[in-house]
Amino acid sequence: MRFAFSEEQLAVQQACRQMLRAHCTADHVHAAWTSQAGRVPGLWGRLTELGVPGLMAPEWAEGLALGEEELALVLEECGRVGTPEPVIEHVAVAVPLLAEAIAAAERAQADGAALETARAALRAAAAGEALLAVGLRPGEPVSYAGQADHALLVDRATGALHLVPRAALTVEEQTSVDRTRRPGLVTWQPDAATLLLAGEAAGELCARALDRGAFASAAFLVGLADRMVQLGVEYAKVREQFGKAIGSFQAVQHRIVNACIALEMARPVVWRAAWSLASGQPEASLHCSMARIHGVEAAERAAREILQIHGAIGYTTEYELHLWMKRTWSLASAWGTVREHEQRVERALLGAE
Amino acid sequence: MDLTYEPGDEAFRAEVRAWLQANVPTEPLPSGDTAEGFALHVEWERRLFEAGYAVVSWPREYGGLGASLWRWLIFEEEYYRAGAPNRVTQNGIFLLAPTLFEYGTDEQKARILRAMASAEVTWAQLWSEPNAGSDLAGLRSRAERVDGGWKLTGQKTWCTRGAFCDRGFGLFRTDPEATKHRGLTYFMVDFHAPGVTVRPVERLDGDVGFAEVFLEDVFVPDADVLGAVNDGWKVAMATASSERGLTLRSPGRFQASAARLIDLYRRQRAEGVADATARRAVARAWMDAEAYNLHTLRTVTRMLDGEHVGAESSLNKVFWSELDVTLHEAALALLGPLAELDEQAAAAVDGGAWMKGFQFALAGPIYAGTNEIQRNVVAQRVLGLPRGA
Repeated sequence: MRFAFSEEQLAVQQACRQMLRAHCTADHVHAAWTSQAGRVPGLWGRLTELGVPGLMAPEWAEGLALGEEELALVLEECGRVGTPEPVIEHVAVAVPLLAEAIAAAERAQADGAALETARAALRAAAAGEALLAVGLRPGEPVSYAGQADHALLVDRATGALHLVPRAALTVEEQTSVDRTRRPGLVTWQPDAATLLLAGEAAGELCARALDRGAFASAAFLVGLADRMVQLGVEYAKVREQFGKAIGSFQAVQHRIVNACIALEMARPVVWRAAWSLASGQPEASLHCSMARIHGVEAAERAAREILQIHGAIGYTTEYELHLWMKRTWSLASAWGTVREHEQRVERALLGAE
Repeated sequence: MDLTYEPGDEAFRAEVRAWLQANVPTEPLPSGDTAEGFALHVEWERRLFEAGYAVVSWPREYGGLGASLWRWLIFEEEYYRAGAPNRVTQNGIFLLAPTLFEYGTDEQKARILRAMASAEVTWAQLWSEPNAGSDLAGLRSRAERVDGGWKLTGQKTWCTRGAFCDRGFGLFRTDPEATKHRGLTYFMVDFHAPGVTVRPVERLDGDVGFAEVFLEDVFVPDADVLGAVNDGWKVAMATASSERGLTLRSPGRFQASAARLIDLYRRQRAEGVADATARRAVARAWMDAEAYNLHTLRTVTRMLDGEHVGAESSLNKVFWSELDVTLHEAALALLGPLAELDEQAAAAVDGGAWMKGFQFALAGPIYAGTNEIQRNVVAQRVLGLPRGA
């Protein structure tokens, strides 16, 4: 039993933290709100220098071939600064899904040409040169769909997984409460050329990818919660009313502490999901749902309490808090609602209703 | 990261489980917070001690097994899983003993610890006073220097199982001139000594779990002062975090309660009386117990890595005490119209244990430092917010 990260894993986290602190400030994120792509110019390149896009990609695709434990640390750092880059969608979900689908298709001795396209797409994705979007639940908005070079999409009719090039996608872009997010409704025609994997194998891989999305979004949300709690603490120390810092009032202290408790209890649940996925535990799905529930609720709690202790300044777009709150809300609606994950836990624990 | 136990630890679990299966009374003992039940619980404690399981993490010379913190957690999991009796030795073992290990003289440790572990001597805490609860340092009970020791005078209250215990431990004012937190000294007091009067007080749940203890010129020898004279606040607080953190309420306790709640849900569903709201509440309670367990595994890893875990334990205490309340609320909701039936009602489900447990759970946010005080501690010592006015 040892519930801690290795020195090497912590070094990966540290490198990310240092880079993000300098190159993904609240000002950068604020500017991303009104930019064309909703992203921070140059930041994807810096993440690529650290190997982040290919963190989960296998060695043959020149990825780092790391696992969910490293991913948990990197995503928490990204969440802490509200990184408006596709670190959940591309890094945590699409890249490992594509790699696993390629491996499964190879085992099934699938068509050579389609596989070669997929291998090239993975290499480019791992190198940070091409962007992968992912839409595993037909009908739901697909983040970054309008910018992606390829999208991994599930065919509603067959459940098969397709790798669809940008040219074959029609994207109706939507706006999100978080303006750095660019969800798009996609329409496309599945055909033999885009088919990557069909049948049970596709279903299993997509289920695992959804688990990863649940876990990864939770890790990011834990970072966001941490940022909001810290922001609340700093503000409560300097804001004075009635001649003293508001952070000395019990009513204010206890709100911040409630957010802090939810955060501290969520983090180990998220880390356990990382370990479970990385070591192939049979209950990994259950652990991902638990991580998702605790992660979403910790961030929502932080948003609510920290807004309240800020008063009206927190209710403006001139102050940074709204950036982290809105990311929280947008991520709370992606990767399965809390209720949906609760029901998964209920089924695993208590059987069918 | 590895969240599995080593084979040696799992072998220890198997041994503990087998012993508990063979030895835990099949009929639950009457509450240990009643005169009759207390005596039966003390008998149980002696059997536990003889088997080596009373204090698994203590050194062997004091009756323990020298077990690691991991094995202590495993023992706790198995103990509560088996539905074994509540530990009436708990306040001595979890509150006084850590202080003795840190501040006790060799003579004190040799004289007190083994007898505590074997339940030959049972201990009650003497912290609160009628006018000193959350503001503990405002206590007024005093001790005056006499030849060979001290004379203690004052009134202590909310002493758990004080009506049945042999001895008590707590703080008394030894320097009335000093400021509030200074001038206090940590004493151990014989309840059978002349001048001690114990008045039992019935708790909310109907047990005589509390006592008021009146002291009038009670002689306590120097040998029963723990730590330095006038240094009692520091001595008491040094290990207070262990009460709130790890030791008082290990995750195994709540995991076992959650497992029983799931069992209750299954039975109620079979009767067709479990709705979707109850189902959700059951799963949530189980998840919170799991979260507390995972948080504890992380804390123990940090402790074994040499990190100091102090004020964060206040955060634990808030979490487990509130989780215990919501867990029992979920059970009462499942019981519906039968929820009110108590331990004496023939038709009560599970012997009325859920209503009893609910009432006891309500004490959690109050004892061992109220949750308001714990939140203050987290705010000020973990988050660095300024002290209140």
